[in-house]
Parts: sequence; C-alpha cells; structure tokens
Amino acid sequence: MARIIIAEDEAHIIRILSMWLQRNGHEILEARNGKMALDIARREEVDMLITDVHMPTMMGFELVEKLRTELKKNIPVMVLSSSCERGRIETTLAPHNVRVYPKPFTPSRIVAEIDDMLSAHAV
Amino acid sequence: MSFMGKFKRFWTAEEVPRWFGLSLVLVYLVGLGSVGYLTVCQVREESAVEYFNTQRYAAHSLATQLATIASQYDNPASVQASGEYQRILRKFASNVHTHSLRIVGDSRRVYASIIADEIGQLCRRVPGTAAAANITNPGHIFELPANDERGAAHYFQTKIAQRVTPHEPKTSPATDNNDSHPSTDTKDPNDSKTTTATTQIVEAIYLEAVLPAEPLRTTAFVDYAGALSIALVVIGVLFVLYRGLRTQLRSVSAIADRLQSPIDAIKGDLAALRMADTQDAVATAWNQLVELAADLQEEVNRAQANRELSAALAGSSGTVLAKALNAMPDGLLHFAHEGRLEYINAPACRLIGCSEDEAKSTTLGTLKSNDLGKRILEVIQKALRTDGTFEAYNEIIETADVDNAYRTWVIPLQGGRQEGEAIVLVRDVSQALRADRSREDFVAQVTHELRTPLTNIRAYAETLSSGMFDDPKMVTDCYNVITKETRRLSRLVDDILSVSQMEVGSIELELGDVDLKQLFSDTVTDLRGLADEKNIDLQIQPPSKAGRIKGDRDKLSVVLINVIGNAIKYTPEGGHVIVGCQVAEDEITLTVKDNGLGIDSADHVRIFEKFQRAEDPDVQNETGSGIGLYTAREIVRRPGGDIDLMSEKGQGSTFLVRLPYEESRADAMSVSREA
Repeated sequence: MARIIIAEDEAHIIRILSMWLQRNGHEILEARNGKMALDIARREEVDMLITDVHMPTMMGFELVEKLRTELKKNIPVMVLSSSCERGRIETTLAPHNVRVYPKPFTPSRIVAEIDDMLSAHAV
Repeated sequence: MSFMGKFKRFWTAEEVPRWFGLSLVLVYLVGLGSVGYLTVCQVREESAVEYFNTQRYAAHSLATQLATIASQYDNPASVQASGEYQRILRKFASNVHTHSLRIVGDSRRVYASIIADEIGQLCRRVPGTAAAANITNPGHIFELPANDERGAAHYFQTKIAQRVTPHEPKTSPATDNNDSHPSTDTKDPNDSKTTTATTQIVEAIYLEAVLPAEPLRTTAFVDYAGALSIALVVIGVLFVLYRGLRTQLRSVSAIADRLQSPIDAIKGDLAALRMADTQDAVATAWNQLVELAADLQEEVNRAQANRELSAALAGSSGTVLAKALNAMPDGLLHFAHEGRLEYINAPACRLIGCSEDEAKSTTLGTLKSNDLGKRILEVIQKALRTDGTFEAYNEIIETADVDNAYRTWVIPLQGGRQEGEAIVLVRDVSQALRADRSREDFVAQVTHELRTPLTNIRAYAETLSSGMFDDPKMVTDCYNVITKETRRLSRLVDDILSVSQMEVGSIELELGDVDLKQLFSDTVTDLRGLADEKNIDLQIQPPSKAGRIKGDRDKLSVVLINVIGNAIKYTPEGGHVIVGCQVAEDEITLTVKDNGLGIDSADHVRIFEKFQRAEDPDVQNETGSGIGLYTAREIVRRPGGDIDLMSEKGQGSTFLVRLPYEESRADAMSVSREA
C-alpha cells in the first residue's frame, strides 16, 4: 500500500498504470506534467514517483533533480523512457539513484518491478 | 672460392678472411728473409774463396819477387837496409788490403815492413803461427788461419831462402818450390832442382802478411739477390700503401660510378646517389652531402612551385579562374610552410575580416582578423606541425549566438613540390548543422511519438488478455484505445514515410476522381473525436460547388487531417475551428480558421519546414513532430498549389490551402450550397 505519483502527459498511460497499481492496493496521484508532479510531491507524503521524460512545462530530468535536491526526497523513482534514449537518461540521472524502465512496457511486469522497488526501499 | 679468387680479392684490398691475408704476408716475409739470408751466406762464402785465391796469388807473386832479391844479399841484415824490400812490400800492400806486411827473421826481428816503426824491432808472435816453421823448406807459402784481437784474420807465411855467400846471379831462382798449394810440399829440401851450388840457409826470413777475411766485393749473384730483396721490400711497402689507398678510393670510385648517370636522372632522384650504409667515413660524408643536396633541391622546388601557384592565383585576376574563386561561397586560402599566406579569396577575406591588401605577405600569426576570423585562424593553427608543415584537420566553429556555424577544413597538399603546404576551406554549414540537429531532434521525437501509441496498444491489449478487469465498460474502453492508437500510429508512420519520400523527391500523386464533399465528411469523422475531447466546436462548411476533382484522394486527406488536426491541437478547450471550401474557376481554396494560440509572424516560415515547430511555449507544450504542415504543403505544391497563412500570436490562425481546380470529366454535377 503506497502513495505513488505518476507524472505522464499521455492520458492513456496514466490511466492504465493507475488501474493496475490501484488493483494492487496502491494509491495513485496523477500529474500531467513535471510541474504538477513537483507540486504534489511538495505538499503530500508520497512513497514513489513514476515519471515520463518528455513532458510539457517541466521535463522528467528537471523533476527528478528538484525532487532530490530541493525537496530532498529519497523515495524510489522510476523513469519511463524510449529505449533509444536510455543511455543518455541513465547517464544524466545517474547521481539521483533512479531506475529506468523502457517503453512500451507490459503492465504486469512493470507493476511487479514497482512492487520490488517499494519492498527494497522499505528494507 | 678458389685460391686465385681469394688472392685477387686480397690484392685489390677487398675483404678476405683474415687468416688468408696474414698467411700470404707471412709467406712473403719468410721468403724475403730467406732470400736475404741465403744471399748473405753466399756472399760470405764467395768472397772468402775469391779473397783467398787472390791473396794466394798475390802472396806467391810477392814471395817470388822477394826470393829473387834475397838471393842477392849475404845476410838478413842487409835486407833491412834494402829499399827494394820496402818498395815491394808497399806495392803489395797498396794492391792488397792488408793490415800488416813484413819480413821477419827466425829471431823475430823485423827486417822490412810497411809500418816503418816496426823495422829493426822484435815483432810479437802472431797467435797461432807455428813457432818453428819449417825452415828447411824455404819458399813455401803457409796459410795459417788465425784470430787476433781484431777479429778473424788469415796469415800467410812464406819462407825466403837466404844464401851464405853470394854467387853470380843465376837465371833460375831457387823458387821452383814456390807453389801455391799450402802444406803440400812434397819436395825434398835436399833435392834442389837448381843447377846452382847448394844454397846454405843462414837464416830463414818469412813474409808475414795479415789479411782480413772480409769479403772484398760481391759477385753477380749477390748483386741480383740484393736487387731482388730491395725490389721485394719496395713492392711490399707499395702494396701496403696501395691497400690503404684502395680502401679509401673504393668509396670514391663507387661515387664516381653513380655520377656516370645522365644529369637529368640524377636531378630527378638524388636519393639514388646514396651509398649503402657503411662504416666508411667517405661514404658517410657523401651520403650527408647527398641529403643536403636533396633538401636544397626540395626547397628550391617548393619555392618555385609557390611562385608559380601564387602567380597563377594572383595573376588570374580578371580571368575566369579568379572570378570563380571569388564567386564561390566558401572561403579559400593557401598556406605555405610555417603558415605563410600565399593566397586568400574574397569570401575568406570577408569571413576572416581583412582586406586583400592587408592579407599580402602575412602569416597565420600576423593576419588581421575579426572575432570569427581569429577562431578560424586558431583552427588552422592546430593543424600546423612544429616542422612547419600541415596535417589534415577540420573543426566546426559555432558563433556565440549559435545561429551560425562554419566548418574549417585544412587539406595538406600531397607529394610534389607543395608537400606539406595546405589549402584551407571555410564553409558556412549553419543550415546543414541546423538540419542535422533537427533531424536528431526529429528522430528522438518521432521515436517518442511512435512509442507512445505502441505503449498504449500493448498496455491495453495485455489488460484485455489478462482478464483482470471484467467490467464491460472497461473492456470497451480498452478496445477503443487500442483502435485509436493504432490509427494514430499508422498516421504517424505515413507522415514519416511521406517526409522520406519528399526528401528524395519520389512522392507520386495517384490522380483519380475525388468527391470533395465525401472527402470533407470523412475527414470530419476522423477528427470529431479529437475535437470532442477538447470540447472544440468543429464546423464544416461544405464546398461551395460540390463536385469531383482530379486529385490524389489519400494525399488530400493527409493535407486536410494535418491542417485541421493542427487547428484542433493548438486551440484550447472550448474554442472553435471552422473549415470552408470555395471553388473558383480554376482554383479550390480550403480555409481552416481557428481561434487558438495563433502563430507569431517570426514563425510563419519556420512552421512549414520539416521538423520545425513554432517556438511558442504553449505550442511546445503540445506534442507534435513538426512535419504535418511540411507534408501538407509538399503535397499541395506538387500539382501547383500552395498553403498560405494568416495569423498573429494569441489571435488564432487561418490556413488557406489553394489547389488548382480541374473538374473531373466523369461527373460534372453541381451541388447546391448547404445552409
């Protein structure tokens, strides 16, 4: 049972992820861009962030950086990426301890991955 | 190799095994020494024999004469006073090399001598002489080898009879027993062969001569042997000198051989004059000289080439070449060694920021330049090696405002007289760089765009197949999303394909009959959902003159979807999009008017370029590939149409798609305007 922010400008993706994660008992806080996600994280207690990279207003890189340096939240972060950018994303976000997950994804597998990350962090 | 072969090499001072050379020298020295030794021995022997023979004869002759004289005196003392004895002795001594010559009596008194002081004195005993000479055998000649303190010497003694009483002088002297065979006196002393009265010996007197044993003169053999020895020594010395010189001269003769080639061949390839690597000092010095000559020749050739090239370039002013060089868009420079500027064309002068006059007789370090020029020259400097030649290099310089980029190529000249010099090309690659960057951005964005519908399709498909969500509405929603995203994906793929085709110019219009009204209707159906999502009022005004036109239906559909789709995308919620179609005599105009974000006039041209979008942040917030309008315009331009734009930022946009109107002959029905 975790509170998870999903930052994604694609409505269908937010919807399908929310459905699966809620089915697993998690609470989902939706944000359509990075700025919205940061605002949520600032005011709410959350356990995890799932974010896309390319979003209007604030890109995923900036969101993660601000989460770590300004809000000083050490929660698990999963970044959804196209595989052609994976290397660049991993390099850029290496200091921030994130896990990069490729798109397109299979909902069941990504949900399992998210549960693993939450369990590992809890330990 | 045979002996003769080895010897020949030895003689010509070529390399042979050391043992061979030493053996030959040893044989030579032994031979020389042997000849010399044999010669010396022979000389000694011959001269001794000759000498003895000579002395014997002389002594015999002398004894004969003395005996004759002695017979005229009564006593030995008279001999002492005889000048005749003295004269004969001195004559003998002057003809024969003798140390002493004297007449000595039994009592050892000297009666006559070539040494005046000895006369009348008692002489000392000559070592080795018989003290008791055989007095009874007067006239004998004794050879008595003896040594004295002066070295080897031989003595002759002879006895001369001395009569007691004088007789008439007789013709036959009592000398018939004077023979030259020493110690072989076989005559009986009492058996005189003379016819005179018996001579009574009062006192025997002796001729005593001391003669040295040294050779007096050499024979012919000795002369020849001596000459041969001298010749051999001289030959030996000359040979040593010859070998020494030959070693030095070998290099020189090899050099002379090489210089036999025709002078043109030599000029063309100085390196061929080099001697093979050798320890020889002459060859090493020659090689250094050849290298120096080659360097000098290269320098001369280079300078000559520079003059010719500079003259060709500079003197070409007014000719086609000069005009071409100055008309080309790229900057062109020619640098010689150490960065000496030989030529600069007009575009390069502009880029670097100097005039042609200012560029004369300058170098990389001294050429006047502006900010960009300074950076260009820095790039060229990077290609300049420490030895003054250039290596290949190129680099892009971007201006501070990142709007312009210039690539500078340093191209070293290969071979010939210009080896190491460089031609520098400076090209404005701003557009290419922008295009490259746009393409990179496009690939990233397209990948993202493609993956988004794919992600949706996959996620919703798995959701359906998992059976975990059995709510019927949920199931229907999943199917709908899959369908929509599939269409979206398909459209995107088509757009990308169209862009690729347009890039290579291979887009083909499949002309057919197009029902305009139907086309509009289908387009609206496709886009209705999108408009409804954003609560946008999509109004379609059917064509003023319905009918069929000649065109490519699919491509026209793409144009409508792109233009109308854009209008919907960039119009906020609650806005409206009005689509109209006016048919004139020879032109159809589709108008798409919205009250959306509007487009700044600065972007009016950009948005029609591929991969370009308006820089408005609100536009950037919306996802888009930047190829919709480009595609639409390319399609429209093929039959000769175009797309115009009227828009201001914040005041909505009106797109006018103009197409040449060619009514289809198949159907010429008229359609009344719908209210």
